[in-house]
Amino acid sequence: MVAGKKVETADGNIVEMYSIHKRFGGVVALNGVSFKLAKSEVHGLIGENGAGKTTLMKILSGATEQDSGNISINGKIVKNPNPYYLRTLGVQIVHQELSLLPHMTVAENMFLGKELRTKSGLIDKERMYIESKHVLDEIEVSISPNTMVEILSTAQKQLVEIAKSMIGDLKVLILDEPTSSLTDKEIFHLKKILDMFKIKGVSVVLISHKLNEVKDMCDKVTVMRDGKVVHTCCIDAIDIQDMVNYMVGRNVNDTYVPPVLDECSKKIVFELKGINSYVFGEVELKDININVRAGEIVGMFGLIGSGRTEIIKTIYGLRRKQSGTVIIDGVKVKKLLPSKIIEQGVSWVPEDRRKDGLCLEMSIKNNIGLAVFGEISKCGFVNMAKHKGIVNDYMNRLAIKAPNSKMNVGSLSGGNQQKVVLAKWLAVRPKVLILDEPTRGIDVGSKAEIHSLIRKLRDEGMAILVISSELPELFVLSDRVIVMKDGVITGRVMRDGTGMLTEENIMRIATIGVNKV
Amino acid sequence: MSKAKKDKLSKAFTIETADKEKAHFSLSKHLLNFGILYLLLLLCLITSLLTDKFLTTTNIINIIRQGSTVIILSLGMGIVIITGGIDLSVGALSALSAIIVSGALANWKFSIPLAIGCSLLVGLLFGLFNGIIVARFRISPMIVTLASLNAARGIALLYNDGAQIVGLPDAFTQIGRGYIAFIPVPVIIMLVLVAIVYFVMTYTVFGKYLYAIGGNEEVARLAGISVKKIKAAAYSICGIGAALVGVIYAARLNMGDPTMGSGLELDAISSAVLGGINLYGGQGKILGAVIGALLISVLSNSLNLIGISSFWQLVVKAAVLVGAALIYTRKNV
Repeated sequence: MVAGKKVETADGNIVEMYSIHKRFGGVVALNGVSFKLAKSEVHGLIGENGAGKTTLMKILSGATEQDSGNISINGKIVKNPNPYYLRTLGVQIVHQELSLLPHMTVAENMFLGKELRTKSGLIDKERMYIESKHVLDEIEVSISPNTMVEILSTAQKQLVEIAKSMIGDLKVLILDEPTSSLTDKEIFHLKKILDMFKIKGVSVVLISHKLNEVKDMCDKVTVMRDGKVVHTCCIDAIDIQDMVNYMVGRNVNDTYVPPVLDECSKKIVFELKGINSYVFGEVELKDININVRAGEIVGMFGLIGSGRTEIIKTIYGLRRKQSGTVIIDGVKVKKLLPSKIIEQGVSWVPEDRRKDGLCLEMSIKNNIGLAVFGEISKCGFVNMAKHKGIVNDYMNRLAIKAPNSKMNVGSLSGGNQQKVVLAKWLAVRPKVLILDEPTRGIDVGSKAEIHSLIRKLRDEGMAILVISSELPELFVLSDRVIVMKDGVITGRVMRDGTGMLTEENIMRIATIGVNKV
Repeated sequence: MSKAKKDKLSKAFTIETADKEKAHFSLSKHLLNFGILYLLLLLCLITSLLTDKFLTTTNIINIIRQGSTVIILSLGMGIVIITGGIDLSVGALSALSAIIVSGALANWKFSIPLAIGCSLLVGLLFGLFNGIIVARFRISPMIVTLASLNAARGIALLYNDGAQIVGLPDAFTQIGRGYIAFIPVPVIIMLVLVAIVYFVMTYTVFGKYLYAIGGNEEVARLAGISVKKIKAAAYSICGIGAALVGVIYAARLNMGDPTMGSGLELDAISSAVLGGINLYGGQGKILGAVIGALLISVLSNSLNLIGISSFWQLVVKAAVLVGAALIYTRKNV
């Protein structure tokens, strides 16, 4: 950038957005939002889903255009914004849905659209390798630029995305929910990267639902609600409970509640005995023993690669099993097939709702009905009245917010999408409910709602297994926690009596793998 | 970057790649990547054991000459499939091209280069049309190219009322029948094209963008790649390839036949799939498609030599295709 053109504003703000308005059809997404970002500042942007954070950042990154209002970057008003132009001004965004091409290498992804060329116009692979290696080294990521992206973990992909944004002239980095799939160690790494950016004079906008991380990483925080900024302040001037209250506009209560059913009425309905499963190139599961009683919530914690999801895949027959049995409600399951397991009364709400949980182009109604159509149809004809009944019932019980049940699921907010997945699996009236990351990428309000719903289901006598990488979530839900590492159960932590359910304890078992008898 | 730092980095470069190769070599992965090549060699070995007519110079040259047209088609088809599209019009387009080049030579008395130029231009225009409709209006390539298939076949039949066009100059037929040294001309054309396409796919930005668009169109768009132009170019290349195949056929048969080339598009798609190009786009090597096409042509030659009827040959081809698809599915898991 030419130095002479730069005009530093008096107060050193690199980004200034004034009274931004944006409507989508009849819905007001942003209603007069002003937002300022200082140089070298990490600025947290929080709010419930639909509050307008993502829309605001889309406008800042040029993906959509505001109806009215001004943006200035480095003191220069931005005219005719588009993603490409804003990138040349140094504004980069790392999206929530990762946007790397799986069949290309890390270096190729980092330079996509701005490939380095040799004098003869061909791709300069070596220079791209060296430069991407340089950037990766700078943020202390030990991935070879020649690695294919498809073999990277989600966390590594996230880091590559950040590295990608550093190619060229980076001034403002927008991170949309960067930590939703990271473990604590990786979050610590991210924090180090942000500290480095601060020294380099890069400003960061961090959109997050994890408030303790916002508190931990940011210098300032802006809270949005219903398309407006409701509060902006220095991070030291606000605590997490206040953030929540600003976000929701009311007091939210999401704490652990002990089960109502007493010990003797709880029989074991879900039992895994000595499961061993080995698949080439994946985590090997060794001697997995788990039981879940009716009316209790068992949490399962493990870092990525610990084998938590693999257990579920094995039960569903999506992975080969060498030995071990699955017993549901006292009956041994003979053949592990999704249809058989569902028949036995197990429902699994998968981790990735957009990929495995929903048909995004289909209506709410049909998504909810998907798993029960067999049950409510005769000779292949769906009983419309029953279908409608079920849909209305669950939309009310789960408080799914939508104008009507014919709407496409894809147009709902994350929280409501998750509720639709839940509704689909509750509609089969399961005895056992397996929830894999039940509130990933969902705002606090909806999170608390889903949590209390899970507790309610428990108290109605369902056996619930919650897999989560968010410790706070496991704390407010679980009656006990199973910890896994490298395909082995390394610890079982009880809530009552022993009093061992602490964050340090669980992390210790998950990372070091102390086998507590 | 300072020189010392550069040195350090280039050192890191060598160490890291060496480590990587060592760490990542696995037999099963190797077999999946090169399996099609081994399958081809195995097939050659078995056939040469069963019959001594297989491994003769004449026969080998014959196989490659017969295969060269499908190989040329599979190059264009491979490019289109890598962008996540498909082109069903290539067979009909080559018939149209054969008719145009024959008509230009026999009826309009055009010079040979001009006649060939005309037919290649028609191929280009059809390809461009396919590409623009697919990219600009986001219509399924299956539909667009199906329409082109019918259009091209229809025009080919209309031109001479469905009859063949004969009486082509001898100099022209050399393109299909001639030899340079002992290598047939179509084989030379094919080899040159394979080299060019391989180079483009591996070393140019255009090649990378084809993969990027097939991998994730939205990501490519946000990266500032002009998706529409690249897609239009991909279909245009495919169209030119099809037209060239039509020219070669006309030269070899010494006539323009409006009914020729039906089903050629399916051979080209099979070659690409056999060669490991992902039908959903973004993945696969163009040389894979070449070897896939070669495998198909060796397979029919072998079955002919062993004396298996052409009806059974279809069944065998089907089995090989499904088998290959199954193997590649495992690769992606």
